[in-house]
Amino acid sequence: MDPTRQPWTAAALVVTLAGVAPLSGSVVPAVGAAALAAWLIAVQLVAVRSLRSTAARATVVVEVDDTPTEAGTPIPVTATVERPDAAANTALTVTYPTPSVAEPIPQADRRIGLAPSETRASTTFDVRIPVAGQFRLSEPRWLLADPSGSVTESYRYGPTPEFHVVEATTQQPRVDRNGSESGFDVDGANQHTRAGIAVDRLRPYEQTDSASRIDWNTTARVGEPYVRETATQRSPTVQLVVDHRSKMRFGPPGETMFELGRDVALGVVKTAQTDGNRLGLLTVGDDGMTNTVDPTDRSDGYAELRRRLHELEPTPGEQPASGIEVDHAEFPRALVDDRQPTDSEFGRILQEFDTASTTGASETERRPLVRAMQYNKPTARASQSCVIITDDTDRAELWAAVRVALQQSTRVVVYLTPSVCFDPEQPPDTAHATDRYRQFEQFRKRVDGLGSVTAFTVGPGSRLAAVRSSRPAGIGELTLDHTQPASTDESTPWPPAAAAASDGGAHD
Amino acid sequence: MTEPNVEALFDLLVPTRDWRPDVPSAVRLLGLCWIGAAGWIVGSDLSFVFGLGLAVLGMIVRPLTTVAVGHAALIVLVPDPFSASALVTFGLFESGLLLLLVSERPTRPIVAVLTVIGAAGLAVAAGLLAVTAGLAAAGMFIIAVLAAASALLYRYERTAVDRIVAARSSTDDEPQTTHS
Repeated sequence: MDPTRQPWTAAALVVTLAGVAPLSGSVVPAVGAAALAAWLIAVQLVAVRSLRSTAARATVVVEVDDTPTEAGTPIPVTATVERPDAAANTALTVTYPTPSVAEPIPQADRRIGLAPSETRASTTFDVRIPVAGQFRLSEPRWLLADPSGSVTESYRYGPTPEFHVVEATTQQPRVDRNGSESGFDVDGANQHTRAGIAVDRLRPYEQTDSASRIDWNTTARVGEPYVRETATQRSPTVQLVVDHRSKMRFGPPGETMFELGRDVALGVVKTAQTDGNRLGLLTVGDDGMTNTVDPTDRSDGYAELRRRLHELEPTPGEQPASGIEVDHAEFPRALVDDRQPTDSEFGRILQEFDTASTTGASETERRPLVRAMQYNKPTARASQSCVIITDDTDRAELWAAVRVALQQSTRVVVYLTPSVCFDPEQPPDTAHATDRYRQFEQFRKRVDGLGSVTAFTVGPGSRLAAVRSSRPAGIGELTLDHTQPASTDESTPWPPAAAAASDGGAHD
Repeated sequence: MTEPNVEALFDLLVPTRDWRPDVPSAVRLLGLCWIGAAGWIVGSDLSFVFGLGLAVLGMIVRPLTTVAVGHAALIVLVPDPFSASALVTFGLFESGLLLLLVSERPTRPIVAVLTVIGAAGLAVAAGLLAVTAGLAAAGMFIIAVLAAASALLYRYERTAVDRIVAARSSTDDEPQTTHS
């Protein structure tokens, strides 16, 4: 309890009058001093009662979003102070301190004030923490005053909510298709993974389509098999498959293949939540599936998906378990052959993948991504779409996984990180890197041409630009030929950004 | 971290000197009228000037100051209150001053009652002490009572609030945090 200026003034008047009494030889000033002293004691007595009552009955409730938040993103905090009428004799302010690591917040925003006789008030303020980690808001400071303003009391008491801040996306990954940006926004919408995935249209039958999806009326009318893709009446289901095997760990800090892929995955979660799509999750590590979350359209379900994605790390790379028989075995082998001899970790991993591809080991057992897609099959729904996020290191496995996905989904979206953009030993602005990127681009187009598959490139914008701007090895002059088919290697329009003008939008 | 300022807290309280149509202003006006009337009732020029002057002063400064000035000035009007006529004069003015004292915002009945009872008790004790041990002892007694009572209340309040906060912090259902 701290006296304010008022009781000190009254006390000074008491002392003055008590001193004047003997000096004047009259008892009248002493009577005045007695009256003032009695009033001061009475005021303090009532103040103590009021302060105790408020301290015992007033409560503060805090609402915070407990889902992981990116560093630098505002976290709204709503604090509400309540007290019963019997404890409403005091004036009070409750002020939350700014966390030491957070950006400054105006005190007026963090403060709740209740005048005497008021029983409820609240405030909302944003906490913005620029670094990742677990942080706790300190206890709020209560400041009470009795209604006469004679004494104040302060103490700390109240909930201390915790914030889980995760690393922010340092650089927005560029997501493009045929060299032209797709409009993907990690924070929000990707038109290709929205509810519109389940389109309503007829298209020619393809080998990967299930026979049950053939529209026989149209087939009879046209004379060749057609498939109807119908928009579903219920919320579309999206199955998200995220690859976090050891091969995804390469790249500069904050921009590894895995981190960019995870950013895309978080964007898919946000898009699904915005559109009310049911979203499931499968994550694939070196030894197989590491997370399976059934499709959900509940807000806590989306929060769980975000939490799982944030907790995901690339699996340790000592034992790359994917011994594979590559359908297109030329790629890893050519990749290893093309590289200069090196002892780097990246080179070693590639070498192991290449070696494994000739071992003849059991194909399905050694392909975690394919196994994940097959696991998904029994639970697949007719209206399901599938989003696969991986890299291009094992193209044979990816090809097989996409084919499995096509059997169970009406639409497949593949986000591919080109390994050439993340090779620590290979500068992206060399002709060699450009050759590798061209091979990647050809593969992506092949995947993109598979039925209802849409394949995107995901990578750091600067590296993608660098690898695209270099001349490919073996081509003396840069030739932009928009008339040649994309499958003709030597005459493929280059860079791919130019190709976008010629074949972009073919699948849109 | 900037600590919360007391000004924001006091902004929530009604200013002490504001005249407004409420009970404290009415009591204060009644006290000032009483003092003015007492000066007229006593009948001397000095008492009339005293009553009028105190009423005007009370309109300008806060009641606490008016009461202190009134008691100091009353020495001129009533040098020795132990005579019969002086006791009546003193009683008339003292009633008005007490009314003015309890009009300090916020005027609460419990404060008024405690003030009147406490003032009477302290005045009687101080008067007895003045007669037996002198006015200096009476003055010292009043100061000592005020200091002791304030110190006791301070310690009691501090301990009580600390115990309440500690008890509430240790319970499971409080404090509350909800997650959205």
